[in-house]
Amino acid sequence: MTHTRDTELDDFAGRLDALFESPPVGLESSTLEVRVLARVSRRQRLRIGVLSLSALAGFAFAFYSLSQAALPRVATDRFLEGAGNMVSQALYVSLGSGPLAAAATCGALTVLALAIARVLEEV
Amino acid sequence: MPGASPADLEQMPDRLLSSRAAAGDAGAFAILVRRSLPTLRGFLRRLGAPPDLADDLAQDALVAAFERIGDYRGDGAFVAWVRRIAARRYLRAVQARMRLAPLEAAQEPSSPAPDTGRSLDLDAALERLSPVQRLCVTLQHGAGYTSAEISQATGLPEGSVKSHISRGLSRLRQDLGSDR
Repeated sequence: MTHTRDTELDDFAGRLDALFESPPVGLESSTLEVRVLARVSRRQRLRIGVLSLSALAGFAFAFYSLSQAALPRVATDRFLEGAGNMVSQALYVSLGSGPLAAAATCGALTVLALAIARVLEEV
Repeated sequence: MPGASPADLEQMPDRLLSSRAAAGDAGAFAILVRRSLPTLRGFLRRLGAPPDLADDLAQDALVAAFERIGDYRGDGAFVAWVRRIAARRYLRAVQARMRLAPLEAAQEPSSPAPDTGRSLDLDAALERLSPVQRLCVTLQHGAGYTSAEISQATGLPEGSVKSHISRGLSRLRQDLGSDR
């Protein structure tokens, strides 16, 4: 008897899954859809803004560090030209991977730039 | 299909739309929102959320889904994935409220629907359950939670969860009628 009742309940549970899957009627709302999309768009703009600012700050810091190094003038010019390309390339790639990657790249580039400047200084 | 028209997007499966949305295609995400929003609002109401809260949580869940859309693997419907996000958010809201009034203390609905002797629809039948039965049944059958997951999410012992589900199902079976 109990077994029959359990089987019936199991069958009903299966039918209930299907009932939950059926889309409810009258809950469409274009206003809510617009609100969701507006929030998503705001978030995207904010994310791009934060990324751009952090990349700009990192780049400016790396560039400033390089320009402050006491290097022979010709070497500085050549190095900055090459380093500028390298830095912008690295930032461009890391920007696609999120703010942490961009910040890490900026930091790493700064350290690298300082290390190269010190080596050149010694030469 | 790099420059797909709105009509093309409407025909695409969720998995392709989510890939496009992850690549920044706002039109693709708009279709996913249109497909899932009514179901999501209905699901949250079935869990027991008042309409305003259900709408707020549905929006929050979809924004959260967009932010981690890369986690959606496409092995089920997009809405099923977002339902679990929405369920977690609803449970957080319920847990905050539970500090004031424990969930199991509210045993019966405050205003049960009249028993007309006819079969009810699912939403009306859910309203006749106690809040905790309704929550457990909807989490299991509407969002695919196991009893253990419900227990973990609600803080109720797993035995109690199973008991609430079993009683809820018996009541629903009675109210929905055998023809459903």
